[in-house]
Amino acid sequence: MDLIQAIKLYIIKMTEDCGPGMKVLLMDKATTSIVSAVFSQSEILQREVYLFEQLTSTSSSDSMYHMKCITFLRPTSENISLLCKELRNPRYGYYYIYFSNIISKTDIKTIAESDIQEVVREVQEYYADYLAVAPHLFSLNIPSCGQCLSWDPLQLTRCTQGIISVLLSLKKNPLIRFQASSKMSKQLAEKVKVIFSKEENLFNLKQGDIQPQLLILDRREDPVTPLLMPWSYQAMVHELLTINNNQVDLSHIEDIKPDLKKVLLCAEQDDLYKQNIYKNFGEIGEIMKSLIDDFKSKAKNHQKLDTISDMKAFVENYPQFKKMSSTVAKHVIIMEQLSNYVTKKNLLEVSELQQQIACDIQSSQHTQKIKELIEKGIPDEEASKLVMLYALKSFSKDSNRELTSLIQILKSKKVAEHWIELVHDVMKYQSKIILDNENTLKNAKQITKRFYKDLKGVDNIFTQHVPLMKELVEDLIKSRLKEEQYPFLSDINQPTKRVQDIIVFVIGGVTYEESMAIYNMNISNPQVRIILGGSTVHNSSSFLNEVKLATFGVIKSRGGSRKL
Amino acid sequence: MTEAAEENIVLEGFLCPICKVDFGLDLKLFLHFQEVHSEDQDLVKSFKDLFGKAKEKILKNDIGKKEDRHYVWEPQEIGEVNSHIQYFKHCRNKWVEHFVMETNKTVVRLEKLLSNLPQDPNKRKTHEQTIVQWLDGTDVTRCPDCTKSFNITRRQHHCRLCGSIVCHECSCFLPLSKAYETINETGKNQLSSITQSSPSFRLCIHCGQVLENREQIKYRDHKPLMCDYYDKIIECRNKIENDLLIKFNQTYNLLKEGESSYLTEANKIRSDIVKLAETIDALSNRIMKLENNTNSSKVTTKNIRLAMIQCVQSTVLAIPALPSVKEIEEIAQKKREAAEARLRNGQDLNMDKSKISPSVSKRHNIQKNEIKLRLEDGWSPVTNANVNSDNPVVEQMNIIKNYIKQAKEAYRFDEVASLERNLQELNEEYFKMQNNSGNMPGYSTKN
Repeated sequence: MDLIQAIKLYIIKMTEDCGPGMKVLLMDKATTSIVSAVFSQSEILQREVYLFEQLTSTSSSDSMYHMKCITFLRPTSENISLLCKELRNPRYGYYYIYFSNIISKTDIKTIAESDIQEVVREVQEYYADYLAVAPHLFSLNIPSCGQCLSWDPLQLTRCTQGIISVLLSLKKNPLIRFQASSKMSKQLAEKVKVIFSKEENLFNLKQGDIQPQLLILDRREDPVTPLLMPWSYQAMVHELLTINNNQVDLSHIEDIKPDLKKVLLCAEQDDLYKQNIYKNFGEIGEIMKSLIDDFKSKAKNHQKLDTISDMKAFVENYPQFKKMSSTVAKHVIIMEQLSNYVTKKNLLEVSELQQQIACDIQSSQHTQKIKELIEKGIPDEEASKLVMLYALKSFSKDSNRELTSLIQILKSKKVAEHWIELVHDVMKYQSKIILDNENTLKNAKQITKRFYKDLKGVDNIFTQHVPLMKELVEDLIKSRLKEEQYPFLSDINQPTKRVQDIIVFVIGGVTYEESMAIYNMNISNPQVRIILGGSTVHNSSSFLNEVKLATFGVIKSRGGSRKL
Repeated sequence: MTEAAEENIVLEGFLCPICKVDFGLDLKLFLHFQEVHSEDQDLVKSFKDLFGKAKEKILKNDIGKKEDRHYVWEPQEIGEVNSHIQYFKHCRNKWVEHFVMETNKTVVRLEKLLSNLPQDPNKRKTHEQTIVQWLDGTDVTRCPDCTKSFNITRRQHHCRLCGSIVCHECSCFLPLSKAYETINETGKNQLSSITQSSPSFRLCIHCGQVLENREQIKYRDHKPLMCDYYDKIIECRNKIENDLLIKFNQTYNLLKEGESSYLTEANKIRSDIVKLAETIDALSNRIMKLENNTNSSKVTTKNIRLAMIQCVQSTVLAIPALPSVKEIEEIAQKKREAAEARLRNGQDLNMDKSKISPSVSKRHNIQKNEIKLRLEDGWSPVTNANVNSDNPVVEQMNIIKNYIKQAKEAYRFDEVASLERNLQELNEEYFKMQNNSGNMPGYSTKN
């Protein structure tokens, strides 16, 4: 169930299928990121692939008949027509064509009729149609799923294809469950189901005794998690610097070295990163310090090259040394940036209050504290995120009045208009319909829980909030997930008592904090294997962008959305 | 505080954490807490202290406990695949047949056009029209390809091969020289005389494409110089990876065992590897220096060079330095001592000892007339005559020792391993026998 491994196996197979010889890899934009997420350039060069091209309408016309062309494309109509054009005037010796998803017979026929020179040797479907971010995490890189709180048909198709390809690449034919309160999740579940029955042959897979479960969730159920400041390394880097296709853009830093302008953060190739990906900010700081000391001592050793054997050792270790120095330099500069932001944005105080709001701790004082922090002059986005959290989390009768006063303060502080609009948008986005009595009951439970927890002592005030997803998956593992709220798609399925393989997909994106929660659950529950995926991996700003687009055209007010 | 019996019951509601009474509403609980437990402010304070401490603890967090724990999932096989090549070929074959027919038709027409082609332009036009009937243009108002209407500036043109009407933009020209090349090479003789008067034929783009494709297929087999170099590089790399490195590692392990006789051999393999690596380096460098007129081939050659540098680095740097003769002898000495100590501990094996020392000294002689055998050749050890002993077990042991030596020299490392196992068993057998027959000195006193 390792997603990175799944994609790697497909690509290795592609390079092996065409035998020895010089190869070129012809891809589209999406497949380029799919491949580069799991393979480094040097790894792929060792597989005799020496040229990487993107299939575009403006491709070069240099013909190299001595090269074999591995063509790896998503089955989009644009790609098909470009491929036909390419085959009518082939630039390479032979073509081995791989589609990342299910392709229609008519498309194959169209391609076949373009291959008049008979250069195509292979046409296959290899289901590598998702970005494998970690062994347990995939993303489809969809920045926004739709408008008016409903699907953009294109993205619905893309999400269906993504899920289908995850399932086929892992050879899983699961039971489908969805979130009853979300129309979008039901639609997606049904779409997936349609493909199951349409492609019966493909999904006629050998299964173990326990059928896997696919759980489709909607981000709207938990808009709180993406708004909170995360403190684990990967999540923090994404929140403050943004990770895009495993790359971090550092070009905004003044006088940065050219080779550090865009750095690669890939756990597969960077052991230091891999070891620390889920460690928190404090730990990383210490690790970095000891690493630099270690590095300095090594560098010192290299300075005194008295004997020939010293020199020889130096030369032999040099590539290692160089690699290490560049890795260390990269992480040092990232850490520097992170701690700059933490101080500049007052993130320690902000995060503490965020957690208190998210966990309803000392709720009576929230407004006062928010006001104080805003007066302190925290950045616009942090101020408005606090107000958003308050808006999402407070249910008392006074809260409407309080909220209005908070928004007034934002306005008086000259916070940009679009942030204030976002506060309203987030409220529209939130799907939770909480009736008054249910509300008190749930709160009562939580407060009790918390009081006990308080007596035991708090683990870490910055990471108290537990993502909703973690609770859901824990329930699912214990077969306690309520069927009324998370029904199976068809009632023929007899839900099994035990659960082994779980695939969770979140419409509207996941966060790295949730990824960490799943990672830890995989460790603590060796009997189950959980995979998490989302339309994208969000940080707070990309999430708010999606919220903005998703609620575009929704006119429901706070009161209205409650009643509905 | 409540009784101990209640401890197991899960309490729910607005409970006071100190006296555990349900207050039903959070406000009530709050008030209760303020009133009754105000003397417990210490406790509240300790909460706050905890928060403070926890705040400090962000720099030394709790998940440290889970350090280096990873979930491990069993290795997996490649996911589902679905091949469409059968259907693809089925569709293609139909189309290719059609295309071949089209090509043949076009080439035959071209042949007809070229035979007895008059030099005079007017006569040539009549000749062209008798071979291929031109379409009547009076009813054609638009170019069938681009659907633009014909007028004074956009005139009608006829394709000389199919006779259809196209506009200038949808037509192309086939130079006569190329036309002769297309039908057969001998046309070149007539070239010089004809090219001056009649430069080319006008064709529609479809016929042009058909001929162009035919041309392209001709050149497909052409391989640039780079390929030769590249093939050589791969040959070298395969030799290093599939042959030399394996041999080297085996010899290296033997050296580590104290078998100094393999030093020269190991050195030779090592230098072979280095030599091949140098060849790879030189060849890849030459590929990069080749003249490349296109951008893609520049990138390709650069990447080949990069890949080969990586490959050379990883192979050459992976080869460990060989131990010196002195080091090996030290190892050998230690091993010998250990072995002797073991033997002495077991029994008085004076007779065996005398057997060992000549065989050690003999190694150097044997080494000179190495049995040169390939791995593919059949191999069987020769029984050395110099292994007589009255004890059949000792004799057997000596024979096997001899075999091992020979096997090592012939690089039959599998055999060495199995023979060594044999020897081990015999050794044990021998010690058992000696222990049992300790009071039967007949065997041991013989030597």
